Amino acid sequence: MEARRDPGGSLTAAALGVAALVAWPGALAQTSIAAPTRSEVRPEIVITATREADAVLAAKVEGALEKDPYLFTEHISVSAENGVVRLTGFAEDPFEILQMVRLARRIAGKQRVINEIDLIQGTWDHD
Amino acid sequence: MCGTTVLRSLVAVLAAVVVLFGYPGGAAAQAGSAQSADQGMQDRMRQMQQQIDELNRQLQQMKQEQAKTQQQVQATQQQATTAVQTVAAAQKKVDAADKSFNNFMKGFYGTLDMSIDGTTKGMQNMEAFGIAGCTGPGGTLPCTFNTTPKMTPNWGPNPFGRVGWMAMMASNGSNVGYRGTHKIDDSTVDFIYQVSTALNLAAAPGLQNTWTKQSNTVQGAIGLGDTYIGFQEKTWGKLKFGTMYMPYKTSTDRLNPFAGGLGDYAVVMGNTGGDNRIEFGTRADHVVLYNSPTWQGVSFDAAYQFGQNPDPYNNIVSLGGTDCYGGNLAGSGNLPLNCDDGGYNYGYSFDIKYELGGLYLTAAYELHGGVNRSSDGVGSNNPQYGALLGPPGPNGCATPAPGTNSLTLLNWTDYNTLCAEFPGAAAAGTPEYNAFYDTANEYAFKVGGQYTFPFGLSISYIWEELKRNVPFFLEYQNERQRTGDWVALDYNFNGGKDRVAAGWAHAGASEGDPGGQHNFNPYGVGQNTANMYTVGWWHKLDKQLTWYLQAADTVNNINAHYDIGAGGHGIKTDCHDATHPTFIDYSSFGPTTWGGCHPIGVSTGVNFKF
Repeated sequence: MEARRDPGGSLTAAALGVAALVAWPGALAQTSIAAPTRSEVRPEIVITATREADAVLAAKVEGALEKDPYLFTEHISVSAENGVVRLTGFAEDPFEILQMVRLARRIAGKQRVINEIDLIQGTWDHD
Repeated sequence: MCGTTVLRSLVAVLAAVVVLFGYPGGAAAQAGSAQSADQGMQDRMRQMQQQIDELNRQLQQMKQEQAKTQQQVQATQQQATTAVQTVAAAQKKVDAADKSFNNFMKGFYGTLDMSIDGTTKGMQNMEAFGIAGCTGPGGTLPCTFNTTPKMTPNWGPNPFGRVGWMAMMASNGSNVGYRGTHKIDDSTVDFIYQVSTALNLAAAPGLQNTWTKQSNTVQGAIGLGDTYIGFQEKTWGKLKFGTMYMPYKTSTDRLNPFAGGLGDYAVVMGNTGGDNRIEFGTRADHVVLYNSPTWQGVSFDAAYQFGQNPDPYNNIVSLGGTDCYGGNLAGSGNLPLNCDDGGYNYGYSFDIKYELGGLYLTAAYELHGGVNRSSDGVGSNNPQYGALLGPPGPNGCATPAPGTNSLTLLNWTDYNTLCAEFPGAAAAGTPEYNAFYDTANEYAFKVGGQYTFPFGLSISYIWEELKRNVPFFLEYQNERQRTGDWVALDYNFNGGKDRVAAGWAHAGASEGDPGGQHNFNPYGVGQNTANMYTVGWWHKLDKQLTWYLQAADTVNNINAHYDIGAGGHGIKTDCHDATHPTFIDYSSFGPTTWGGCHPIGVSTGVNFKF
């Protein structure tokens, strides 16, 4: 199982610090004159922070699925984007998929979980 | 380095000695032997000078050697650095290869599933009585029965063979496959592919010919499973081409806890005839399938199955196919070499799905164009079909009944041709329906829902309607039109280690009945409802291995003949007895169907996934 991680997350702490400064009311008051500069910087900071949070969220869900002793997650991938967790890949047991989604929801808390796991069923019945 | 230091020290000592011995005060005190002493001193100094020169030479030599050694060390260090870089690069390549190999291996998947079953057809003591005659118009009620039991062909009045409890080994849904993705350069589109095959773990692979199903499809061959190539892109979804399950089936797969088991919901759901074939739920050939992305929990799938059938009544195998569409090889019906037992042309299928939290809702539709069921009447026990047949002609073959529309409804042309070529054989049979009237569209619609509670309980329900568009004068034999219901409870507990489920499927009464059952009761038209009850327990031994125990019980009304195991279980237990040909020609009889049978089964086995 592989979670998508943000490779550029090393600057996050600094970015968060800057974000906190920017968001601080005092800082806002002081920088009111330089508003254009703030509006240029802020989206980038927010995106970086969101990506980091997504990576952490995906890793948490992925870890929980892997750790479960009865869920076979070999063909499952977990990703997160803007706080929405997405389960992809495939499995051969529909009720195992349900359990994965249920567990993912529990770990993700209030974040939304989208189930895009394909169900593969092998039988002899053929047209 | 140490040797150089010693030499430097020696040179310093020698210099000091030279200075000491050369001090003028010593020479003045020894005035008497000044000349000889000077000579001796000079000799010693010369020797010392020589020694110093020698030492200097050695020192220079050692310096040169040291410089040389340093160069060698630097060269070695350079080589070592290069080697380290080479090793690192090689390691990187190995890591990349490992990752690539792991990704490649990750594409393999499969299921190994085998069970030991104990099942009964539940029809040991049945007895059939022939219909002496029906006096209503066109062979309708009221009817009278013969007073003596009817003989099953060749064998006797009761179901022939071992129709009670029997132990069996079944390979259920076992398969292996490979699935992969290839990134197309300079594009956001991926090429996707999957190849799959079913495995028979309990017997040698071969054609899917069983006593109640004759098929040219080979077990264990690549393609006996969802097999396709296609393209995918994050924003527009997936487009696949191959042999696949249609959306009508896949939309409710997750509502079926007993998939591949004796109590698979396909015993009833999507199964218009009540036998082993699942008309609306079977993998289809020559399919283009589109899977949409998910937007706010909503997604949909659409599929089209190319017809590829040159025959206007779809009476032959589609070009590029192995079996008739709808299942079974040509000739599996009551007349040879035709796809008149459910063969169809094109098909299409749609579904729409919505998932939010624990809630899942879906609706699906599928149509099969021009389904040929003209063999439905052959050999039937329906008195309305019988009323179309007159007394035997001089060659022993049936003739059209006077005063009826027999010549229009039945295919006398083919029958008479066959009768002329094989008079003895044809005499045992009767003509099939005229394909012009008995080739009609069949379609199915269903809505389903599921709710999964956070504590592990799932409740599922499906309502289904099946339709066949035949002319009104053939409605009396239309067994393809009815409703169906499915309810299932599934509870996951013990930290995910155990799961129990219970299900109930109900088949509503069909519009008509061809009367193919050996014990068909004309008073029981409409009494072909059925209920299938099933329970199961799955116990996980680890992530991949599961032991299970399941049971199923199908209760058929007097003219119904639903089975257990349809839809994926390796062996189906149906309402056919073991009647079989005693000689090889077209008069041979297939298995006899007994309405109102009561199949029950228990199955235990293991399932391993990788």
